[in-house]
Amino acid sequence: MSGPDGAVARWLRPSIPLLAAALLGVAYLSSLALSEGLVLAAVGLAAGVGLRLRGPAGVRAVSPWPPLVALGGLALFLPLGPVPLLAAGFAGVLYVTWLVDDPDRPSGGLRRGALVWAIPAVGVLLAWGGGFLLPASAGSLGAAGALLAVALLALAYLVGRRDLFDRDALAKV
Amino acid sequence: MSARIGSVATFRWRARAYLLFGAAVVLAGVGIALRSPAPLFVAIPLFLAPVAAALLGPRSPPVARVAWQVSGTAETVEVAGTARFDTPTDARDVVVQFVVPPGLSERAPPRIDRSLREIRFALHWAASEPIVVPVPAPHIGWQDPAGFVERPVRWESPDLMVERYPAELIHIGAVRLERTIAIPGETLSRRIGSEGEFFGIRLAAPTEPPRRINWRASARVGRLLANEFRVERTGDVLLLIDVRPTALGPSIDGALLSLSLAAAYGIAESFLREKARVGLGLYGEFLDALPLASGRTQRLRIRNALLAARLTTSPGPSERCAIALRRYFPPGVTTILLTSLADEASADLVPFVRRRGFPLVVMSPSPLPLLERASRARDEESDLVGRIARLLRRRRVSATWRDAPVVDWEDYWSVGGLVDLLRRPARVGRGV
Repeated sequence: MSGPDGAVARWLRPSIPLLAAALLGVAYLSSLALSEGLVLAAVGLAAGVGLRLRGPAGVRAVSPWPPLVALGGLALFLPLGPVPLLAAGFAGVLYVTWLVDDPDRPSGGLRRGALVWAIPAVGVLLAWGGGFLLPASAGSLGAAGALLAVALLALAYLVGRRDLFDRDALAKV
Repeated sequence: MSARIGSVATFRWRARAYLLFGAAVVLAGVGIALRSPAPLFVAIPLFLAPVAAALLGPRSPPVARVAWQVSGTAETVEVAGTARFDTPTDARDVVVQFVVPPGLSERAPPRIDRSLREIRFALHWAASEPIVVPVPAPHIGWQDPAGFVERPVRWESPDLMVERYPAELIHIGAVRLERTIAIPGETLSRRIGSEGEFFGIRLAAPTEPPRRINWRASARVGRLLANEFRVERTGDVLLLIDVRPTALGPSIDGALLSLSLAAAYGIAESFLREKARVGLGLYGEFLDALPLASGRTQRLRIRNALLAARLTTSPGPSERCAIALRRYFPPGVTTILLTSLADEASADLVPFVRRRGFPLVVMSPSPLPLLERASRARDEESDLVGRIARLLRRRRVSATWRDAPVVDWEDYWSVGGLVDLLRRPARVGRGV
């Protein structure tokens, strides 16, 4: 059972089954052979989770890579359509929730980091809605529009907050 | 005590954020190249998540009030402290990272307890040998829940030092040193004690010895009064440390220098506490000298000089040290030379310094325990090598005894030999 530092609790994070479901779902929907897709998803998931939970301290930093590579690889083979694109977007969101739900980070946790994954989820919904629910039903248009809107929003925010990047206090003459 | 301020940088993306930004750009590029919107949909959350994380947290660098202290005895070093935060900073979002200073080892992993406004930490280190080393400032930073962005926390706290030296050094200051000042009467200290020049009268404590009671004054007042005396300042001491490299190699030389610095720190502390004047000389290629002085400022100067001491790469000749010493220190000052005596050059320093008029006591940290620890093999050959090394060491120490008394410092946690030598009356006559 659980060891002194809650070894089982470290494994039983809610984000792990969510990420597994997302990767397997994208693998199922992709045009790859089912076995190939499932293997790619399973390897990415197992490597990421394993490195995070069992890897040496220096190797844990690369644990986000395997699931990201698997997700990116599977996304290349997704066909055009409302369901595959929605699955791709939410797989990305669920990947972010997995990053937030890190047992080694005291500040981590799905609830505490809700804003970090909720804003991307809204972005995905906007892009998907813009792409498939509006009259001009082009998925790329929605995605590009959402990215552009978000980029402008981020630019406005970052330009408005110079203190984010200034290392020295502003001089007053 | 000087204080240090943590960090003033306000914001920085962490490696994980760059990973997501990079992946988003790659996926967007591939999606456009392949005319497939699916990678673009994966890229949207990867791009948005770090930006969303930047929106969280305090708008300006959070401020922490850090209080910490070192405790423990001899080999055990315990560092405990707290970091407190004001609203709106949540202490659970703050990451604290400690670095084990060189020369210390970690006995147990650090214990960090978090509450809403406070972080309590306890570090468990071990010092295998005497050491004087500053505790490195911990890295304290606010991080978002996913670890995409970080805002370093501003904090101030007093400098913290790990000071571990043999216990006998605490009382070495009581040794009477020779004066090098022309008029001894002008060397009164501000310390009040049981002997020296008469200073005043005070109410006697119940445990006061009869000799100290001022009977006439007591009879006049009707209460027991005791005499107070202003303790005469003891003489001067010069600590001379050989920071030249030897044939033992940089790692052993570094360990021996660290021992010498710890011993010098303990000796200086003890004599300065007794209001003696202490000078310091570090001889590498040239002599870095701190002239004789007493008081807190001298303590800080000596501490800073010892912390900055490093092994030199180009050793100077021994005679240069002896000549340079006369420029900074009066002849006749009791000199404690800390040198490993590991080669001819370090042994040569002793006669040169003595002939220039400095009565010497050599305190020589022995490399043998370090060498034995370094060679893990326990076979006949290594035993033989160890015995030969011990014989050579004994020969060099006995040869040095011709010029000055030597303390062969093998048990690093004890310096009883040095205290005995300094107390020995024969030392007075051993001058030039």
